[in-house]
Amino acid sequence: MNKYVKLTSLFLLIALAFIGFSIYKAQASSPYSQMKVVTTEGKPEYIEPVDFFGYVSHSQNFSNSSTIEFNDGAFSYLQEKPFLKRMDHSFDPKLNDLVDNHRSFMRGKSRRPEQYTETDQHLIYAGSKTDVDWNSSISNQMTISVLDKASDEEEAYSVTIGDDGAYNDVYATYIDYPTLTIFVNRSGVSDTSRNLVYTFDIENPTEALTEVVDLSDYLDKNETLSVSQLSDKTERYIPLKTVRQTVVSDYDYTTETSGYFAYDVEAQEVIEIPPLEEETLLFSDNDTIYVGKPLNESIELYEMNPDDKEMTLLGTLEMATPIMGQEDSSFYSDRFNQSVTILDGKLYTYGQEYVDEVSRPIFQITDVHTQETLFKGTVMPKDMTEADATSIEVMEYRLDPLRN
Amino acid sequence: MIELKNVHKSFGRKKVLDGISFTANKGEITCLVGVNGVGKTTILNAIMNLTPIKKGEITIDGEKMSPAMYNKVAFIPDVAIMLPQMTVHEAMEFMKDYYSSWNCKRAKEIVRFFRLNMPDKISELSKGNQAKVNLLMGLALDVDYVLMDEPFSGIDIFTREQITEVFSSRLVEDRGVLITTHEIYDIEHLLDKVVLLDNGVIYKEFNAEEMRETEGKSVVDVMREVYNQ
Amino acid sequence: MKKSLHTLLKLTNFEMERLSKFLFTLMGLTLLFNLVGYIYTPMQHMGKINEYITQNSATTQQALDAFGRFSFYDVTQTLWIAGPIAIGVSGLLLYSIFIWYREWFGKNTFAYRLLMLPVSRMTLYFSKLITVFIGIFTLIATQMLSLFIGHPIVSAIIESAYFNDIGLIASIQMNPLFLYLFPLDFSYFLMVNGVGIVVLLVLFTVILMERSYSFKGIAMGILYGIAALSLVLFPLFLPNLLNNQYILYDSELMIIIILLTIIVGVLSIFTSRHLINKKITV
Repeated sequence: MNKYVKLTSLFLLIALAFIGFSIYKAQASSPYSQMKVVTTEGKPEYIEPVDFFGYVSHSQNFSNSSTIEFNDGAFSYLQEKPFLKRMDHSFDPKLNDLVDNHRSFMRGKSRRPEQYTETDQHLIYAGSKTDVDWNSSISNQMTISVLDKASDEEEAYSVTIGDDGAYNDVYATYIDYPTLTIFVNRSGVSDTSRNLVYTFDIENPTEALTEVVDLSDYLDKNETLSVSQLSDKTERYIPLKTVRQTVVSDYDYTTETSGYFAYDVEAQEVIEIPPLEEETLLFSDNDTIYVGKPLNESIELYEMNPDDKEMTLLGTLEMATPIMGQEDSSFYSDRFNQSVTILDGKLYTYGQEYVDEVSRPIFQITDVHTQETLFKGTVMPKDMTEADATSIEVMEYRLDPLRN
Repeated sequence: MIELKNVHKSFGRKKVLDGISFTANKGEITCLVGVNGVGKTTILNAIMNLTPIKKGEITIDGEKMSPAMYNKVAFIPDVAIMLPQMTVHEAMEFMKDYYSSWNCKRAKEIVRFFRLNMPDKISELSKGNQAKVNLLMGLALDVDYVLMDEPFSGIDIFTREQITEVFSSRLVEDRGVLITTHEIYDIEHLLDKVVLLDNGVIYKEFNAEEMRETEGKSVVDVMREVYNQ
Repeated sequence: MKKSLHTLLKLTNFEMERLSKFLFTLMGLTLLFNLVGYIYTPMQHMGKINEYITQNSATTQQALDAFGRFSFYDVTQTLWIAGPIAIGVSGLLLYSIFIWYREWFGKNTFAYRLLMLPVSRMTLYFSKLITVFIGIFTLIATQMLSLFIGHPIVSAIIESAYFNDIGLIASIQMNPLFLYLFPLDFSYFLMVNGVGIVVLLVLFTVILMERSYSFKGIAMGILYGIAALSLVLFPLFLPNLLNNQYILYDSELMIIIILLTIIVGVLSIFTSRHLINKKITV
């Protein structure tokens, strides 16, 4: 047996080192801090519709951040998910839900959530070949796929959009079943860019999309169109705003919102919204248009009658911080209301609070009619000794209307 | 019996063996002769599956070469094949570890016969002693056949005499020996069969003793005749 | 079966004996270099802090603001740790080639003896493969032990005011090199080692091709290596070939790659078996 001494010793060394390491790793405190929702006002159950992805880092080691997910009221770390599941992970909570629940339907389709819309019964996709094959040539064909959730059957339609060689970018879709409304930016022909609204009747499909409104009529040369982020894509009114960029000098320019509108999906027409004095907030919920005036630490909220544009003051909603509910206009973003929205009569908003060396999100949910703060709170480590050194930054945020 | 049937072998475009067929019987000493590069070593390597053949069949007692057959056939090549850092003793222990046919008693006899020292490292031995170690590794196996490739190559006359003694000793008694050598004079009187190779084919195959008695020719005489033609 | 395993054990032990000097040298280098790193790096940091405090009459907080906190991770990032790993990896890679060629080109042609052993030639093959892997895991184990030893050393040298004790496991997890070496994430570790085995199997096949066919074998080996790599990476081009970037999910692509890697591994074993049994030449 003497001749096996070296081999045996090496095997023992390997075994002891690996077993010891595994035991030590299992016993050592997890590098991932356990998180909890801390309610400073109201009731925690109101935060259930909120989903977000964030980064958790320690003030001593900012380079080492972990990705945390808050979904359906529970926290989980991306790094702790199974290896294969991590591979299919997206940083968009909506997209993850779509892939998790409708994996087969999502196969071969674009990964932009704005191209999907759903009701309780259906999931609908609108996209073109260039959305999935970046080498393909531009064509005027678009695919609309409809999934019946009950039978899990998919119906696909190939429709034409326009008759020129423009590049079609679907940047928003809405459903008022069976009418699908698609917002398309068409560019490339004569170096122009047009924002058009099309409709498609799912129950009576046609070979071509029907153009209903040209939103470019509401845009000046140096203006872009921005669409409200809506959690519920069955809303009747779609808030829009136009953003103007004015060049001040070679390296300086100003950006401001130049117009506020709402697109009526049923009437298929654009309603101009009279702006309030300075910045105006614009929301839509349950067939109602809301206009807000951000004040220092509050929002004065009005309900607007789309017919006569009369504004009825609902009240003043107190905000936890001065910047909550406010978003800077961006010339390059086709979306607004990403951190503030109204869903089923509640204003949801979040912001980041910086205290000493750590930053933490603040979530607030307010009843728009009673102005009562239904929930105000933050996210903190369960182990309070870590609280002063742990930062949490929200990266992607959305509401799940089905959980409201 | 070691039997080769229609064996063909090429190295690149050069045809080395062109339909070689012959047998080497157990209990006989068969010698392969021929000029340099005629394919003698290749035949031995082919028998031991140390080089592939293009065509043909090689059997030993009717069976094809397999790992188990290495306990039945020993090969003593003309190069040292044990690890140089091994001592003679370690080499013997190695052989004992892997070969069930290793005969410890015979191995010790051969060590004494060749006057080898067990603690000597193989790398420190002279060429002659390395050749003896090679022979030791092959002859200490209880095998039916022993193949030797140029066992006298590059060694002194006294070592050569020692090695020649092996052929007439009981170390090769009852075994089939297939040998290649240029030093034909040393063992001519011990040979049973001679296979003369030229240009990849067997030019002549004869019984050495019969040739001597009937035609009065030695093996070298026959070789001279063949190559002068 | 029992006899084959016993023979495999014997041959592996034999190969390990031949590897041992080189392996112990690598282990020693790893421990030595690491030890220097565990001592020199924190001492250098403390030296800078003390010099700063002395020259500027600074407080501890000012020194912290200037230099930040020192953690064990700062040591694991240095060449004192990465260097021996690089030497170990390249050393064992070269040894994987050397383990075959020395049988032919060593002082004596030991290939004769090995190929004439009354054992399946694949036992030879696997003994060499296992030996290389024992070498790899031994170095990994050595590195693990070194880190366990190093952590308290570094903690002792750096004053507590300047030390950020994020823990040994956290320090290890922050270094991407250790994600490949240590079983931090089991599936990832399995994948890395699986790929490593297949790379070695392909390498051995290439070597056996050369040993069987000489110059033609070199060309065959290169082509085989390229073909193996192409086959394994082929799924990455599937979305382009199918004109749809989303036709397969990333996890599915990964599964296909894993399956193809396994196929390449199995093919390499069978090819090597054919070569070593029927084509190899001394």
